[in-house]
Amino acid sequence: MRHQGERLIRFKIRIKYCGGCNPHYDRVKLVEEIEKYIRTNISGEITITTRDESADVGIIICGCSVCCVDREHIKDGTYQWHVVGPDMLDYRQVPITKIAATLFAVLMEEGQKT
Amino acid sequence: MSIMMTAAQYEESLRKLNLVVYMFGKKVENVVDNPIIRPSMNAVSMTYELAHKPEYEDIMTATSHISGKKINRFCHIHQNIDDLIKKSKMGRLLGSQTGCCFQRCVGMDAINALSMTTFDIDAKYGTEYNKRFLKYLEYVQEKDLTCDGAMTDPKGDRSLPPHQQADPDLFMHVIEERNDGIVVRGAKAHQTGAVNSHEIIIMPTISMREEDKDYAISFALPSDAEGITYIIGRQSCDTRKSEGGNMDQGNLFFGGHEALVIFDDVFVPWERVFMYKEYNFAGQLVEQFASYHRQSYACKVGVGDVLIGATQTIAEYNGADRASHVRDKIIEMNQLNETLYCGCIACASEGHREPSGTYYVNTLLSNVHKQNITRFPYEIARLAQDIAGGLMVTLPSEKDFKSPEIGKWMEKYYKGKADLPTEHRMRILRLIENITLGTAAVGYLTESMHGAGSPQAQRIMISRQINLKSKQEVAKRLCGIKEKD
Repeated sequence: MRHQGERLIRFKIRIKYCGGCNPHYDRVKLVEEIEKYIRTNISGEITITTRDESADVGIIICGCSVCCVDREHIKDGTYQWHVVGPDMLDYRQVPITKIAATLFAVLMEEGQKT
Repeated sequence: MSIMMTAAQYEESLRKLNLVVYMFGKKVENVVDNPIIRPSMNAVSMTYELAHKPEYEDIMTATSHISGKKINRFCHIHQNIDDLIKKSKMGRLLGSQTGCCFQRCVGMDAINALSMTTFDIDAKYGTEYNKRFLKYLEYVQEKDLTCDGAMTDPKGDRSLPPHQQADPDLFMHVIEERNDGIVVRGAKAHQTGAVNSHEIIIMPTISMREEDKDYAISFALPSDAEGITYIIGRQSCDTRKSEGGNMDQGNLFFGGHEALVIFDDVFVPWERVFMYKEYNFAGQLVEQFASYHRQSYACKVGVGDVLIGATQTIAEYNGADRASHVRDKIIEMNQLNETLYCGCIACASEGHREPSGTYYVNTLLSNVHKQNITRFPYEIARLAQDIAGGLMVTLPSEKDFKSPEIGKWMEKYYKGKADLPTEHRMRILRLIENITLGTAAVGYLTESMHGAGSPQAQRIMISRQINLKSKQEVAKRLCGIKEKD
């Protein structure tokens, strides 16, 4: 994540979905909401990728509380990961309607630190 | 690097096949576009389509242990427990997306069983079946092929072994051995998804003795090899798909099919032969394939998801969803369905590594799972029909509903809740009918009963694997029984 004063100018997010065997909510719709929220609230070059490539931050999208895809081999340590599940962000309870806003606030806070 | 076909490429690849297919006594000239067969092709297509979607790829794809490339999981050899678990999850996913049998699991189970049996035959006899098989597997993975795993012979008189049958062709057997291969004759029955497959993988159907060694054969052929003929099986309500409407078939997009596959003196080159007269390994191959395939009935959990969703919907349309007994029945449907899910996850989680390196399910638990599958879908279907009501089977046709003369009466008298369209009520009833006694009931009910072996086959496997002695010892110790050695 890079800054120009207080504003982000380039920001790449990697999305890693679980396999979706029995999801408790619409995962794709939630990712769309997260993307829309970020694009609405910051200006700059925002890239969302589902490929296995470098990024500024990664978001693991889990369809249920098992979070089977939250594995160490995915989180290889090169960038920060956040885990989203049904009414959950980083294993703390967050209503699904507030996940986009809460995640954005977390990302901004982390951006301030870097 | 991905070598996976898209759904469109899969359909195109089927059009290039030169299959000999018969249905209703006539040769089918255009298999892919035939309205009765087409929904089954659509279901297999989903196995290709979902593999390309980021939101499903974690389950639908794997990394080949041969090439290191990203492949469709249906072409994968299980390399660890996680692979076995993802296989079960993939079954539920696809069942819940299609509401029917998606046909491709049987080939996956065949290649995994052969990866173990060919290795074990080589270890005993110094043959090279595993090397041949791995070369064939690489071809399947590179081309992302759908394989039909064909085990069930017609079997004739069940009291007689293959070599004592009045007609020797009632079990697949070799009739000629050549320098470049073998010639086989026989048939395989109930072949799910046969005409949607690029390849057909043959395995023996029972344990065999030396007298039956000509029947102890396993091989693979292109599905359009010369001498192979397919005869499509009938399904309840099958011709509704050719009536031209879009309501009465219940599931507008997906379905399954089965076929009798005839091998009329078909040549098989040696490089595609994976077992040849090693009769003492026929039983092992049957058992390994069957155990994997019994795990594969995870798909019925996904179809159960669809049926539960449909049942809750008709309860709401009927205005009955708040009745306590209806709520309780919906809970029971879910309890039964999730119990099935427990079984397919458990047999995967308790799997183990075989000498070949392939991971194999816990066979006791996979047989217990399949035994439950022979029962619970019937109970889930019964509860669905209970809640749906009799209209499901007395509802007039779509053509009546759309008739300018009488359609108004259907609209009026088949109305449920006043604010909901009558047509919605009709459509959801047709879907429940489809799954519980229409074309999809072939897969959800009778296939659950007999597919991957009839109930007694699982009970025999269960009886062979339970440790009754140790259970008795504990019981006796706890109540103070002391027996002399």
